[in-house]
Amino acid sequence: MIDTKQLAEYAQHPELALQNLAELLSLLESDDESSMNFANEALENCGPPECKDIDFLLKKVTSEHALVVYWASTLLGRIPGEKIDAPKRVSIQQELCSVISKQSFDLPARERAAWAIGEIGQPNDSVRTELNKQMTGAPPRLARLLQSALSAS
Amino acid sequence: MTRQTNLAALAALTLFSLVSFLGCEPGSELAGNVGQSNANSSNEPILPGQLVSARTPTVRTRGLPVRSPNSILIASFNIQTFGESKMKDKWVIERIAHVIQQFDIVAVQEVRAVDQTLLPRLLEIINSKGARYDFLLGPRLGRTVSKEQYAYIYDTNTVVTSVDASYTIQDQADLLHREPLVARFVTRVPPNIRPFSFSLVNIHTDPDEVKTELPVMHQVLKGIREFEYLSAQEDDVILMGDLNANPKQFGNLGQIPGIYWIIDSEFTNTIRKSIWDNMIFDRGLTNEYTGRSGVLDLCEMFGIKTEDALRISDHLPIWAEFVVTEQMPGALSQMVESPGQTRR
Repeated sequence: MIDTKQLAEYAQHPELALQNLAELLSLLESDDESSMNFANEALENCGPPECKDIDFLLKKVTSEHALVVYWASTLLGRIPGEKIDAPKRVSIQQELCSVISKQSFDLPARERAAWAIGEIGQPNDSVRTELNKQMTGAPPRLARLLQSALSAS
Repeated sequence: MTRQTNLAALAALTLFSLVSFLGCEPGSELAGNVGQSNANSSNEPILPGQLVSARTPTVRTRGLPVRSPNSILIASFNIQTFGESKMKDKWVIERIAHVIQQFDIVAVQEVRAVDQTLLPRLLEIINSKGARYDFLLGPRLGRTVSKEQYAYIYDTNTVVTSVDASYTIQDQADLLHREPLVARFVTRVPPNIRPFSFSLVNIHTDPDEVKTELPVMHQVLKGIREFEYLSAQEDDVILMGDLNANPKQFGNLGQIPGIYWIIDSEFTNTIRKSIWDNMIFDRGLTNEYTGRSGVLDLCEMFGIKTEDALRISDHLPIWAEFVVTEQMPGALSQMVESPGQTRR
């Protein structure tokens, strides 16, 4: 049984939401509309996660569930790039590139992955190559976000 | 008031095609409410020189001006995740209803429910003691399966609108996460008095996309203003809602000649740490603005703690007062201040 009162607390208190990212991301797959809405709201308001959450979020980026990928990408994109060491930054961006490359996957999730690469910044050569590759035939908004990611310093 | 405008400005409509009016057909997403409107249900005769407003005298809510038949209060309120859960919470929903009753129009953001009976049920509570509010509801918007709707809840005693006079912006370039809902309103005044007519633009930006949404907001406003003037000779256009940005982040939006925003320094979130919400218009054109505006503090209003106010929303309602009659240029000019400066 999902405690909607607790969920509302997550939406009201960003620090609580950040401490319970795993629960919130799993609730995105819930059939219960209120739970999913509160999880969305909490994730929208919670701000950037800690660097210690990166590995967990990277696992979630590989989820089959589009909304989970969308929010995991969003959360990764919120972490200031300068706080992430270079090897980790590359692994995040490569994982996000693999989301973008899934042509048949949910477009908003792919767009958010491109957005996140741009937010993190400093894509290396291999990431740039992949981004350029994805530009071909990309829908307009995705192409715009890919372009932003390519030009992100 | 009516401005002289350059019709050639239509050419500047590059970003949006604003010609698609939604909800004109019964059964559409925007319909189903105005068709059941209580508007015009009063059979009381209208006497020359009398305002039609049937507003009952109300006690002044702390922070709001004394209600007068000569003015209306327009508000914007992000009712955070307004869905079934809040609807079922009697304590919360009664307070939301009470907030709405303080205003003639409330632009609502974050209606989040598949069940489209949410607003009719809220209206039952608002109207339970004889008020006559109605609502306009926009389509479900958002890029993911979690959708939001904009709404306008308005007092039919004091203002008139129609589902035919509302539309959702067509964002062909897909620059905005949740395209604004525009609605035209007219104050209810006797036939021999010129009513204040205006168009409201309800917006909720995506906090993660503010950097891309805000820089185009001036084009959004410009496009709507041009469309409103060309299609309805309407020059009073008020952009309002949750911008997820303070005025220092407005950029080009804040540089539009004559532009004015009502919230400059007062925090609009419930924990009083950020400015998220605002109401923006051309102060020279919309000189029906009386100069009174502010943020309604829910803690003060209900005598509750911040923790409890957060149960209602993480946002506070923002509001502004306007006279009910269309003003000639300069009529209220003495009250005009520098753009972006609020008057308390």
